[in-house]
Amino acid sequence: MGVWESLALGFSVSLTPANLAYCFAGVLLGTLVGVLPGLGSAATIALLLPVTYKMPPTSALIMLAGIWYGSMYGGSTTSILLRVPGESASVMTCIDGFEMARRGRAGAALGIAAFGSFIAGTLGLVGLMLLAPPLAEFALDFGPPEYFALTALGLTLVSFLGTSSAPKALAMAALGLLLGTVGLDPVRSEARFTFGVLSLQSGIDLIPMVMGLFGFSQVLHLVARPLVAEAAAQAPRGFLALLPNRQEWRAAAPAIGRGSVVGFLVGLLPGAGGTISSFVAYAIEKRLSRHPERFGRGAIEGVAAPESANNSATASGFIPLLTLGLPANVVMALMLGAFMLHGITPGPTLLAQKPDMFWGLITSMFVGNVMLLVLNLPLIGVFAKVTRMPAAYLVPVIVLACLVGAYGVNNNAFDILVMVGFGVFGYYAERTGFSLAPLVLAFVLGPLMETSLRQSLILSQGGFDIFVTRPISVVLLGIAVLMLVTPVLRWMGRRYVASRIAPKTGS
Amino acid sequence: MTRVACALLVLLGVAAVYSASRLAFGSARAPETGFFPTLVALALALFSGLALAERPENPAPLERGGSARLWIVTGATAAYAALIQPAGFLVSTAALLLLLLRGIGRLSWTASVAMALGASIATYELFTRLGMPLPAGFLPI
Repeated sequence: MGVWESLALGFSVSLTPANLAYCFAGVLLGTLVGVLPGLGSAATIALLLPVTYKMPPTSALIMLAGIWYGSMYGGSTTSILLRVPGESASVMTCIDGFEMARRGRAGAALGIAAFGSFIAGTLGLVGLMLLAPPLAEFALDFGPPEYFALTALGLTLVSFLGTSSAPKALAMAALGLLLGTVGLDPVRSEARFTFGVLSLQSGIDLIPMVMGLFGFSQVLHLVARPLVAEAAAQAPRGFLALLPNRQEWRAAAPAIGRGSVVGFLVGLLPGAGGTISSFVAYAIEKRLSRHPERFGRGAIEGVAAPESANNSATASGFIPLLTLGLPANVVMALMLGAFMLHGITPGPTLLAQKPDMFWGLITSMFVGNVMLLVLNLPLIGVFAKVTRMPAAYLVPVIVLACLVGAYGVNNNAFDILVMVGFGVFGYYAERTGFSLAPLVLAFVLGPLMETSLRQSLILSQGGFDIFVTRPISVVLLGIAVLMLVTPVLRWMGRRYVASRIAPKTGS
Repeated sequence: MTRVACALLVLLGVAAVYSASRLAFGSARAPETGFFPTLVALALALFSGLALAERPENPAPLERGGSARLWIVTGATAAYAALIQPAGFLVSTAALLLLLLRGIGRLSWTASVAMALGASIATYELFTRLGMPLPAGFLPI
């Protein structure tokens, strides 16, 4: 099937009235949770997973995906007007976005964020469309050793990207793997770490866990240290105020282009996603700029680049999930959960077996991006009001969402306790500098990692050479080992140098 | 605080190694149920030990009353888990929301009661219609 036939098939699915409505509901909800600081897209998708059980699978995926990229549009509004990131991926936008707003260019900042997001989102989708099919075909030959190598590399990458301490992140990844083993052994169905609790037999459920880690923990942050918003900037009035002027466009256009490419590449990496891509895009813009001193003082490139990057990263983040069945970030892990809920395993065979779902989902994102642009420009004034929602209202909203989400999975009150437990854990983990992304990703990848490791060892009759004699797995594992060993070597090198210098200075 | 967290994770890793030792380990040639859990529990103990060796810094302390509010919210939500089946979704949710709005959020009694009742009823109606039943409890609904 050529590209055009595929697109035609996809649009025939995504442009049906029902799917248009689901897409609209998703992007609208996504924008709102993006605007609200404290309630993220991960918690929202987790909340809606049980509801999507009754929906047609393709419609469910279209709506959940809409929440994800919609939240990227919404997050920038809060950053620019309030200097508080609505989503973690718009942290970088706070710096120059709020500065622009203070200088009376809030409209241009919001406008360029929306236009940049649209352009980058669309470019990212073109990349996804062109790259996913050949990659899926390539991945058909993957066996257990390749899958083990991929999961190992994924967990190593997530532990080294965007975390301040690699040992802490690796500890979280190990804990995630350990939590993933709770329940029945995937090969022999023997109970592990259930301690006689019946509810643990089927393992820890992903949804209450995510609601706790990303929803309830935010509540605890809010009540323990109330969010003090700085004086909000004046929201722009009228549509014309959102249009950047010619000079601003000239500065922003190359930044949008570079941001799109950077975001797309970073988004492919496991664990990186929108947040890291916006950091990288901002840093690159500042490095390339002829006037780096303008950054932090309201440079429009400082809004355009990270906002573009986080949107193209959402598009490319779908590639590992749709072609390999491997989620690259927490939201993709929940999307994997949505596929599984409907009895579908995403991976290399998805494109061949369900082309209507594959292309329907991708084309719906083109549609959703257009909706977001049309929705965002006139309604920014309304969304700006939502950003001022004080914690007194925000806390009950998030708590209610977490309770219904956790209870709704199995209609089981035990899941509420699991949610509260992970909420307290998540709060203290973040306070003490442990990041939660490696934990969740490891939890999701754990069963696949264990099964592929055990199958590989049985295949090779106990020899670890199976991982180094196959070209793909040796390359992937090589990169992982290199990342793990480099800091140790650097540390030993420093010790060596220090030991050679110390006696000389002493004498 | 950070060192305590690291130390607790080391202990958790060691406890998990012990607990996993009662499962069949098998061998590299034929890995059994306990094979993978033992390896990852060892990794947990090792990496949290390394994190402890980094001499991590503590977070900035909370302002007064911060941790009291934190544990009130946590305790109330845990109590909610015990109440939802016998008391039903509407009663227990309205009570919890009232605590959050009035007790933590310091909104007026009138506004708190109105919002707690309104939000509970709206959520109940919405999710029951979406095909996700919530417990009615003792209320005749």
